[in-house]
Amino acid sequence: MEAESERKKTTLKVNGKWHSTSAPYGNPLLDFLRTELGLKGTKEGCREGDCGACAVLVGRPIKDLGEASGDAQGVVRYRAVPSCLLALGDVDCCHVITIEGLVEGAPDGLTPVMRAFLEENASQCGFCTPGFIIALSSWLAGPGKPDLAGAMKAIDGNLCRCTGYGAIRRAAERLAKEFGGLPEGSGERLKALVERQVLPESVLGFAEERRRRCEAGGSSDGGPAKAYNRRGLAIGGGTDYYVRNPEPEADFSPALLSKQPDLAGISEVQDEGKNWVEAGAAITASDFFASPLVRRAIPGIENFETEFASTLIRNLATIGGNIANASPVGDLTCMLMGAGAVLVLGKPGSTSPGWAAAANTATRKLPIEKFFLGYKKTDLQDGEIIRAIRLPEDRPFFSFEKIAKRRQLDIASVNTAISFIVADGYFTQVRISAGGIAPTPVLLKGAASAMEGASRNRGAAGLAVLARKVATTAMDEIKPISDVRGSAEYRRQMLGKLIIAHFLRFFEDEGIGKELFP
Amino acid sequence: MSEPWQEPIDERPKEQKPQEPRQFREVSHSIPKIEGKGLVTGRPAYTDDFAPRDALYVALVRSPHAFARIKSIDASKALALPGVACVITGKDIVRIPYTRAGQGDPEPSPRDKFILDEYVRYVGDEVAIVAAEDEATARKASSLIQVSYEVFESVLDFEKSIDNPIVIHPEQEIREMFPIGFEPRRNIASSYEMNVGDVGAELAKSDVVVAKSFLTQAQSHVAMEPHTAFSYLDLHGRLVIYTSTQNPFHTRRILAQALDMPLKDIRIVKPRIGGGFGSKQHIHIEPFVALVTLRTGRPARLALSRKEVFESTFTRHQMRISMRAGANRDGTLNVLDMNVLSNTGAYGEHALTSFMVVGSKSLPLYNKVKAVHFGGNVVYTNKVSAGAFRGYGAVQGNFAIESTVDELAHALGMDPIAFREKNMIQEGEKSEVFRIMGEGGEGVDMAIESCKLNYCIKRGKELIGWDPKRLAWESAPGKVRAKGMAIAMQGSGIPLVDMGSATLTLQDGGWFTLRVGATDLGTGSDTIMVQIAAEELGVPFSTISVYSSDTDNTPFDVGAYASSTTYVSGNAVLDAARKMKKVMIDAVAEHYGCEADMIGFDGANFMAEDGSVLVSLRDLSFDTLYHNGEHMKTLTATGSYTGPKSPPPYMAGFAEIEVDTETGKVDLLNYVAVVDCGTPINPNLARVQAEGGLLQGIGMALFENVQYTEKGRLLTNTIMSYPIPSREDVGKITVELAPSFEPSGPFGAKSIGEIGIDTPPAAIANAIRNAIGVRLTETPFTPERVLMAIRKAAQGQA
Repeated sequence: MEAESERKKTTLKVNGKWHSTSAPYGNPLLDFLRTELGLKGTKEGCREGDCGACAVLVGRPIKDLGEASGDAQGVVRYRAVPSCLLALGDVDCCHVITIEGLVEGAPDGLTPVMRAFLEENASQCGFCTPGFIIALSSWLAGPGKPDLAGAMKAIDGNLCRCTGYGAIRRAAERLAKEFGGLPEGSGERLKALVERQVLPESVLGFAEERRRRCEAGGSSDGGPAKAYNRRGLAIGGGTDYYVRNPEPEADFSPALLSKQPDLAGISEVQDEGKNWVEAGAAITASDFFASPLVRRAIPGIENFETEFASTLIRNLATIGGNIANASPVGDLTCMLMGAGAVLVLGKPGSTSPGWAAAANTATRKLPIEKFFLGYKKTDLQDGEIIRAIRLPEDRPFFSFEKIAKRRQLDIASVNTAISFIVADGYFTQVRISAGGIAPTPVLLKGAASAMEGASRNRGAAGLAVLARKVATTAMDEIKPISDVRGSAEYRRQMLGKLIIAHFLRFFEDEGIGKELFP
Repeated sequence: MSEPWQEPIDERPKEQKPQEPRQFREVSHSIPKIEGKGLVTGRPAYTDDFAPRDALYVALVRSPHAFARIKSIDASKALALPGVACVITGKDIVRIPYTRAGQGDPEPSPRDKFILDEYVRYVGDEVAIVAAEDEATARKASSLIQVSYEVFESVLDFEKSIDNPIVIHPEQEIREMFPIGFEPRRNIASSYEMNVGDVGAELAKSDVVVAKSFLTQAQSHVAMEPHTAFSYLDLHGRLVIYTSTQNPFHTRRILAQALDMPLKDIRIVKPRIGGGFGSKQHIHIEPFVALVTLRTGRPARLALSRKEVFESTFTRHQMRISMRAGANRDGTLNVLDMNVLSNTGAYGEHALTSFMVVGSKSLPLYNKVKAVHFGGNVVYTNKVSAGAFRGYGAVQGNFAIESTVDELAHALGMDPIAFREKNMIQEGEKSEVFRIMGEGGEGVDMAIESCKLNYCIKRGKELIGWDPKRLAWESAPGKVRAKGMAIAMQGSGIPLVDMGSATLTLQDGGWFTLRVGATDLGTGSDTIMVQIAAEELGVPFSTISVYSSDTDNTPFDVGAYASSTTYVSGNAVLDAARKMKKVMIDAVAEHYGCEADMIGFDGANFMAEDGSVLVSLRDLSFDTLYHNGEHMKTLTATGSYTGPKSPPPYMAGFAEIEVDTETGKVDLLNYVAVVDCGTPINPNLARVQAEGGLLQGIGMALFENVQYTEKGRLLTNTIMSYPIPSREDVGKITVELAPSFEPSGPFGAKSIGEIGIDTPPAAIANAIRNAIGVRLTETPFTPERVLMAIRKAAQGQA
């Protein structure tokens, strides 16, 4: 174990006050808040990121968030994240606002979100309440115009076992009415939120305080990145790691990839004569789905955002982490595989402070389907990380489907994604991925070739025949297993259904539904 | 405002009742919760928020085997770890059988558990207690304890438990406190039989008979706050335990018995509870912190991890219910026959009571049958124990009966609602079942004084748009929409068993403290107790301060379970308030030398017969405490209540679903529930209680399912593997409260806590039946099960 003095200090603002702590940076923020600072309003409900009771607001400068948030360079964005899955070191130079901090300065001791909860009796036992209030405050912080649908999405990662959510919905309805007219621009939005006491005054001085404390004489890019010891383990958002290791040892010192500025951008690159969108591995799922470049590369991917985890998790989980976790049924991985993503693997870049040992900055590219070698086994070499994910820009048709017991936020029994090109009236470069039917996410080569080269302009009946053929081929080429989420036979059946559903999504307007379900 | 609970009540019972519905000042208003502001601002409220900073952290060593004998425990490595305060094993403590059920005395559950035993009977059973200076050390130490086991074969299938050669409880010391059909040698924790009329003959005479067997799953509570407790010794050397318990007084008594301590030496305090739903009726962690504090003299703290909550606290009883029912062509229901096998897991907590409720809270719905039989066994298995869970027994029984009744209606070609209306219980009627079956013993012979099932059904039909000719239709290719419904009843406390008390005291300044043993587990009961007291005293809500659930400082109450708080504890508060008025008026009479019955009180002033003010409440409070010379005294009154009856609340629940016939996925689009809970003391809180209950029932119906490996290890030990409904899983839920008035309830109130959970499994099953023509008999209705049912039906037709 390192001596206390050698330990990296984490500097952060919690509510109205800055702290510099040598508490183990690899341990969850939740423990620091409750045990070290005695802030008991943040609750521990599950320590697996599933309940949202430990949600806190984390403010970071927008410029650290990658291409997706290009406006207002100096502005800080506040987002709700589960503090049980968040390494303390990850909020170095960030502003953490807990439920206690929200009311600092509010004249009657209540923010509008709290008042709505109070008036609608939306707290029953109240244990989940701080998390809901943080999540709804995050929703008001934007981006986007606050409406009820947005509010419901914002709390999709907060569980309440008492109320049935009716009263919470009624509180959200009130807020949507009250705050529908908030300004859209990040800077004005933040000011308006402070004026209307949704956020405390402590957010106003943060950007300037941060410049003084964290950036003065700081690293080359002027960013907050900081050297962290590395014991062979790198974590992205932590949303998988801390679920498996909820109580890490006191000297747990992983590399925190979200602190690497060169892993946090989204840009266009040209390679092999093709245009690609390259997303840094440490981009969060929220920023990934929000990115105009990503949306251009994978048309319609934003429609499937809510199929992946919850808002709280998406605000923290990184795309690189999701892939490296190698879940056989990871939704984002399935989407990326269907979309034809290529991984850029390599040592952490020399621009990353604290990674100077990695002088070799050579990278290699690997199609995502080749990355998975077996159950939770990947092709990552020693010292190598996923640096970026490249998305081809030439695939206009994309669809994703999954089936789970619950409507959302459930681990899928089966999922699948598809993308293809239509050239000269024929389907070509067809890719169909599937999860939950093998130890790794896989490409369904047989199914894809059953579609490859088929004529696009074959009418509804012809498309229905093709859909059935592709589905049957897919069902024949897999060997699923049985577990709590479904039996082997059910998974096989479902994969077929989901492939049919892809076709329905693409060709519903042409009447394929009537052909498939006469 | 034209909310239904404020509409005038049109059907009054004919005879004169002791209380009449009237315009209330405090009751029947949706006052925000007293603690609401504290909750929304995240103030410290729950047990762990108050744990002393110097408390030892407690960790438990748990069994990795479903059934084994502990051969030896080597704690030397753990004890050598710096920061470890103690390790306690079964050898260090007195071996006393007790029950963790958290019930009254004598407990209707077998005393079949030891705090630490030589045997472990499920994966997760406690083996040893470790305490250390910090959490990481405690955990590390628990992993260093080496336990050597003699592993036995286990019994995991509850349908193969009775007379299995593997006996789960061979030990001699365990016992039942009174006859509950306890036969541990046969793996039977409890059994029960009752019979009215000749079931066989009535079935034979019936034109149509339906026989179906139903299987309901084990369900986990998943209260958001994990079970948490801390303990310390006070200045007098007494053991003080703060714990998230639903019943502090039972906890004190049971702990004293299990630890062989005088009751006097224990104080239990319940801070706010982060949800219970029955899970915190049980004694799960208090013995462990207590033992550490008694051993070390130091404060000790234990908060279960979510995984431990799943693996070592209780579930709903899994049940096999075999139904037979017969009816005549004219739609007369003749007979109900219910045979039940219940799985209590490794220990028999609530074995008998949850079992009896299967019948006693469902069979009386159809009180006109000529014959009824109920009976069966509760068996041990090497799984997580089953215990109290909102609507226990009732929701399983409701699923079986309301599915069977629906099937009978189909067989008769009748509208399932018309069939129910013809046979269901009505206001003023009785049921033989009420008299015969209580909870753990005989019941009480009661007549139903309030039953608005007719209204609930009528209003529910309007809200859901019920058309018997259009109960299913194709909504899109591969999608079928359908409607289904069920009716339900619960109770309001256990008659002549549950007792609650309340103490009102006038404080200087003219305000009151209300001390109640009743336990607010998030329901809002602290608020409604104040509403009841304020209504009866005639004083404003804001002048009463409530303190609840502290065995040293509040009067006795059995606690929050069995839908008892509003009715039993509420009646106790009403009693205390009536007495308090008299105490105050007597004090005024004494001081002014006038007749007590001439004195009036308007909530602020005491007045003579001519309306002149004798003294204000504020002045009275100062006078009696400071100024009245030899007449000085504390004005206080304690009320108690135990119900001679348990008036059932009723509900009609209607589900509208969409079945994806390709994937088998059932989407719940709309759920309408109309509830007769008597007068809602706080309509908003009552509505939220009903909405929350419904969603737990919906989770049970659609996806919640406790599952194990073949070795008996729990698979569903995280919220990810055991998902509970999220915001996204809820379609539209509409709850309305029927205008109703229960004469025996406080201001006409009955219970609301449990009834909400009862209807969803049956109503959704009935909707699925209408959608796909197949009766699903096993909960939950997962996409896979629905799809297999569709395919089976298709094969049957082919």
